[in-house]
Amino acid sequence: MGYSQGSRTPVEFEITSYLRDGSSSDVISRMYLGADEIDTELARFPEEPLLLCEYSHAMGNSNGNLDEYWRHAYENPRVAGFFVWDWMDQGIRAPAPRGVHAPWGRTHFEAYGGWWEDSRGLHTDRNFCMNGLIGADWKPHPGLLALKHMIQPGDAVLGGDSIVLNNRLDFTRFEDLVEFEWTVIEDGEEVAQGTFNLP
Amino acid sequence: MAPQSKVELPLPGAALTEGAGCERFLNLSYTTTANSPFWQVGYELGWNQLTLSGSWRPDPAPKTQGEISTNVSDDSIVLSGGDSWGAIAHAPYLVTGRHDRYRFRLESIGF
Repeated sequence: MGYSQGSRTPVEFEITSYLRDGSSSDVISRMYLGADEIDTELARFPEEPLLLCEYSHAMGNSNGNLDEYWRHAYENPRVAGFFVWDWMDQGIRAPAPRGVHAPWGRTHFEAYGGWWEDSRGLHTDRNFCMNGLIGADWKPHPGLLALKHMIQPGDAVLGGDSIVLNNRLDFTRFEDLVEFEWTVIEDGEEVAQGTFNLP
Repeated sequence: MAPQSKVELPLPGAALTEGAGCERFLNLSYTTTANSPFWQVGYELGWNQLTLSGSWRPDPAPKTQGEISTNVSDDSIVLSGGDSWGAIAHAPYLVTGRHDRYRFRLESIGF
């Protein structure tokens, strides 16, 4: 199978699966495949693992429906994972122009495509370089919290009068890593809290 | 709790009387118990928020095993015991359970 025959190094090459030719890649690699298309893609290449080399473009108010992707990853071992595009807004800290005062009193801002180029008539990708899970000032965007929740080491669901706790880790016992603190909230007020004893 | 395993834990026994009609959640926080190159003790690695229904029943009748210590402050009571049952009842709240630590806010339970 695949381009890496005779080698121990797997090869990922996105364009091959897009062209319906899996002969030069060891994984099904796609960009921005819809979550509802994953099953179809897995059926089309019945042996290879699937890896989305880009998904969930983190531009502006984004990174929604992550659960629809991660459901596949947790249910099907052939789904190897996904890469968010991308990590950080690519802005450059610049002084606010003379005469402009942000209402919150900041003296600088994160400048991006067009700020320098427009006056020179140069091409720019505009805000398409502002597509990170964190800002150019390193402040996390809400999408980063959403992603963290999707890839957290476990999950819990209610089951009648109990909680079913799921350890997703492959090598670590929960009690060697975390403890579970619980809080009961009633109409926004905390009324009780404690810590679970793991069996 | 072994890797790639599931376990069923009894719900903590903080409950309202049935049909009280308020909005209730059980928030669960996964916090680290040791320092690592990536986090400090107490860092939140994950969380879940579970919606509790109005029909959720309190735990069975409380009983005591072993020694329970109490610590009362201005705004809370903490019951501690390595493997103990504890209970505080004050209408409309009944809080029981087999857990290693409870903390109650007095204003929440009507003392």
